[in-house]
Amino acid sequence: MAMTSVPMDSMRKTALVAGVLYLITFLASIPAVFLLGPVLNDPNYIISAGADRQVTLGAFLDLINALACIGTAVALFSVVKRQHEGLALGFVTTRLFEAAVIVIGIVSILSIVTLRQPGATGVEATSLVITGQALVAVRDWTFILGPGMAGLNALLLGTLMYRSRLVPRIIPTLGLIGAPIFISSQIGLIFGINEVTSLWSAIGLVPIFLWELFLGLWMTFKGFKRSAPLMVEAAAEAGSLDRSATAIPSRTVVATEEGAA
Amino acid sequence: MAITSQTTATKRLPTDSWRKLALAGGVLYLITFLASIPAVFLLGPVLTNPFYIVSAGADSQVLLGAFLDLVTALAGIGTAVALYPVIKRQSGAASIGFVTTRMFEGAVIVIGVVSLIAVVNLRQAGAAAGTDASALVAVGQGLVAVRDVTFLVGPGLMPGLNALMLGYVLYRSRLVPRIIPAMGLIGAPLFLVSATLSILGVNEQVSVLSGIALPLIFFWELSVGLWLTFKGFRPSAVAALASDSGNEVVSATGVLSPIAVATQAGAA
Repeated sequence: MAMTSVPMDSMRKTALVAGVLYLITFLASIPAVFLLGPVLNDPNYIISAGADRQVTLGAFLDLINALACIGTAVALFSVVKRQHEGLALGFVTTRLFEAAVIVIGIVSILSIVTLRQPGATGVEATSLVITGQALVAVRDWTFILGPGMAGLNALLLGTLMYRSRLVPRIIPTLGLIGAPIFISSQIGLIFGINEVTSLWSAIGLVPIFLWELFLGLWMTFKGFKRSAPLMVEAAAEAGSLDRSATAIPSRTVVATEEGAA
Repeated sequence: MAITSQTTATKRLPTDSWRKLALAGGVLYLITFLASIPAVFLLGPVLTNPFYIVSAGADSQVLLGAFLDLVTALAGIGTAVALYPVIKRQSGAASIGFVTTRMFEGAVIVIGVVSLIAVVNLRQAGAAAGTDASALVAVGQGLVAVRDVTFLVGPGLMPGLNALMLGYVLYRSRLVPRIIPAMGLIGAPLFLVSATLSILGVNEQVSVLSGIALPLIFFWELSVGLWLTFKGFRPSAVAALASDSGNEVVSATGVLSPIAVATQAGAA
């Protein structure tokens, strides 16, 4: 069965996979921040006793997060491209970019673990500390530029979800309102005129956080709304396999108009 | 609107162009082998000598190795891009998934490439810049550590996910003999588990597992590359996929265009 025909039960599966992957991004990325605490906060971690198991697990959770990020876009692509293929592909690319940036941070952290473990050979402690701090600085910036993509993700997927009505419109509305504030706060961070703990950042982060969380929960537990035009189409398509094609269009058009009204 | 553009995209792909896509996909698979294997040896000096950055160096050899890694990264993405127009007819999700896992792998490989090129640049500039040798060595080891980790996370992990995505599509569609994707699909979970354990640093238990997983993944990729290059897709599978999507296009244009109009009107 190729992509043009997507039966209803496969729509439910798609929503479930995408929803679960959204929830995995939360379940992986939040503990990771705490697990990485020792290496992020201790400037001398690279010459300390270390907490390598914990740090490695944190980096691994970040990797899970990065791959799950891509997975959300891959899972949704075949559905939301029916709404707008350009926006749908755009969402795949922003998710991929986000994951690629996150993985730069992951390899930086894991490199610190590598350098600490055997104790790098023939190097003074101070040189090692500077190298370690540089790698942490790289990770800190990837944390701004990578997860900072959430703003663009919200603009792209939020528009698709708002237009398609696949989930209640209040959910993408949160993302679409949050996105410009979030993006401005991230740009503020880059130029050093904003801080992670500022009110500006918080106002940007909260709606984006809730948009992703509610989207994940809704898709996992409720699936896509059956009244959404895309879903009506998919149902009509599945129906057209055993009914005559002429009878279908009038019925679906009526249904779509009802849904849109 | 989205629907009409989609139907034109799926509509006609003459079967002789399928042979070209198979050839491109196959050759690119073979290029990933021809580029990545010599690269490991060429990069030997910088990877194994902790003092490379203050040594006499073997820069042109190392740069060639880094360049071959770059070729591997791009050819890897190319395999997915070349096969995408064909395999998306079997599964849109797995096909775009394969493109993304290949791109992610390419992005990770490039982090390693730029790290090693940075080591070469620092070696050439280091002495002149009046840097303390010990500091330079530490930075060099840091950059090589980055490259080592990218090797674990990129070529060490992603072929498992690639095999799941492409293996699934090729197995379902029978575009190549099923024994080929079967190797990949059996190898993939073992490969992913052993890669995960390597990343988590529990290397001791890995050797047996990777001893089974690695040959399976290796021969899956090699045989896909060889088959696609010299044989192309199996004609019966091509015929099935082509007629399948042909029917859907007809039904799609008949049924869906009024809805597209209605949706557009509703959205306006």
